[in-house]
Amino acid sequence: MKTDHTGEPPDFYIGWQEKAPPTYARPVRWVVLLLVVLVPAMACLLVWQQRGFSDAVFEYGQLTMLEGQLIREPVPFLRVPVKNSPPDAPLFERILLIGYGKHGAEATIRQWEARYGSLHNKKIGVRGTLIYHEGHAALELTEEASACRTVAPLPPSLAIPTTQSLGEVTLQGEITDPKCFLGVMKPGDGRPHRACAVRCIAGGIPPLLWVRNGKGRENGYVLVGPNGERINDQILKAVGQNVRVRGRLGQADNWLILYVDAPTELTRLRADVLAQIALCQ
Amino acid sequence: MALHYSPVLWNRQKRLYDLTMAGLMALYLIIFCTLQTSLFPPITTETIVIRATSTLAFLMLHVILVIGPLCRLDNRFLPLLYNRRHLGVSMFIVAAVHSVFSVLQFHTRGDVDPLVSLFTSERQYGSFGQFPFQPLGFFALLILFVMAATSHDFWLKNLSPRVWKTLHMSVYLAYALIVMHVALGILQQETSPVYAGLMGVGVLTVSGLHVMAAFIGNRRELHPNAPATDGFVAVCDVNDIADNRAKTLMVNGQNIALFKYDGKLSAVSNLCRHQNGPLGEGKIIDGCITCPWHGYQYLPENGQSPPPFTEKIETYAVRCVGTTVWVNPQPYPPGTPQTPALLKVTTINDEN
Repeated sequence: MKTDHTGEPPDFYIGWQEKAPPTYARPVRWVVLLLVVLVPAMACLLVWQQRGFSDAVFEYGQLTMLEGQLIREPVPFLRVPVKNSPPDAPLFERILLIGYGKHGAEATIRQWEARYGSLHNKKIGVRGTLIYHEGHAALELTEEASACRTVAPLPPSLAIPTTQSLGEVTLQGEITDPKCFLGVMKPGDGRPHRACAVRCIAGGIPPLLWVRNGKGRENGYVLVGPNGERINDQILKAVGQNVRVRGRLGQADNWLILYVDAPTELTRLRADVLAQIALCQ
Repeated sequence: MALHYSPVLWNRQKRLYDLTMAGLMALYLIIFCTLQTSLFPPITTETIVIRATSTLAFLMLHVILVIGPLCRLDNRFLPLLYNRRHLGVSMFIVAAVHSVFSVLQFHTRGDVDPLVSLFTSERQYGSFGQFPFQPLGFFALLILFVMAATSHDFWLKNLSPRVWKTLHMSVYLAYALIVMHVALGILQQETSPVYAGLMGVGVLTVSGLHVMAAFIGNRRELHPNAPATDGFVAVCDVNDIADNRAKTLMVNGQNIALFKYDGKLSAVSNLCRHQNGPLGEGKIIDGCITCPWHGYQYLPENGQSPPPFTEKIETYAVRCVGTTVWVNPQPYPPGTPQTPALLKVTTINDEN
């Protein structure tokens, strides 16, 4: 580079002139060239290094009609017969019912009951948006009060649902909301999603403990109180965090329900404990 | 330095600057979004928008922050600085898109107002590791908004250069907030060392260049500490100053540019009235001190912009005794004429 005796370039740059002197234009051209290489490289690297996203599905814009028995406790489900299951031993699966937005289904169900009367022991037809992941399905009641399309007496073929007790367990996992986790958001867990999970659970969506065992197996557990009561408000501080939870495990068709012993005493796992668990796995 | 009002004084260099900037932004977004949908088909549109805009805005902020020190280290980078405010406003717009989508995604359609949710969904304000990261982003965006909204010269003139400059220095606070927003947010989930490494390189580059520029700038600047004689301080030898150029001095807290031109010496404030640009790194062109940042001009004898422009800067009395230059660090009000010191052998007694 040519400079004068003070080390400055001999010409002088003034932005409002039509052209920059060559002494200034050349290095700027090099900077632009560098950016032309750097910008795509950064875009590629930042995408490529992401941890990836689950293959959970939210059928946005596509409404599905389901018919089955409305279950209110401990959380709202629609219990539907499994297709092609033997008539003498019918199988059922449950679809978790979730309200529109970041809300539970209770308010919407109350609207239905205001219109149709008690839905206890009734077969209802519900239209909503399906959300599913890893054998768990939920239905967003997108049309809210209009989502309930038919109400009919419960046929005798629909067995009285029971919850099978599986004993006491201690589980470690992240508390999240099933709506986002099962497909509405990608990712529907982890730190960036924590605030959203808090809002969903504060809005009445049942909390879900998602457990990964380190061998590629994972499962979700709906969390309720020891007597099946809702514990959403009590566990808000632990939402989006890794916790250790103790309680009584029950199976309701294809869903696992964890009746948490002491919801206010969930053990939040520290980072060093998490690291040890990861190493053990 | 406009005589007639025009929102943006376009010229060829500004157009080239903006076209290049827009082209690079579009290139980044196209590559990011295309690759994102190809490599990770299950991703939602909202997440693509949130991630593409957040990473682009953060990248742009780094570019913006390194331009200043790069120009201090090597003034051949000055064309990058000339239109930096357009880069800043564009970066704010990209960051705002990120913020709007994030609030829509994470905080709307809930049981409380989205803004209330932003501050109350996570409540562990007493924990460093679990500190809510989204409010940090909110405050950073607020700062960037104020900066973008006041970036026009209208505000510069009305707020005064000193206030305007102080306000715009808060970009460093915004940067610190964004670094924490990223570190406590997405880096807790995207745990690839490449992510943490890239942010580390970014922070080190920004801080390293600033430290280096400050160190070198300080070395270039004169810090005369001889006792004053008759209010004047000996600052340098006249031969140390190149023709039509200046030496910058820091005397008694005064930032002074001492120019040599046409066999004369004049001293004025080193801070341009426009954006506090370093006038001492400028040059005398057509008899005027010309600021290296945006080309604002002042007459060295009186610190006044040539008519019809009206900007004025402080002036200082100068003497030349032998080959030693003396400056009185007491500033005169902006635009006060001073008799330039002539480059001839004189003594203080001669002048008195």
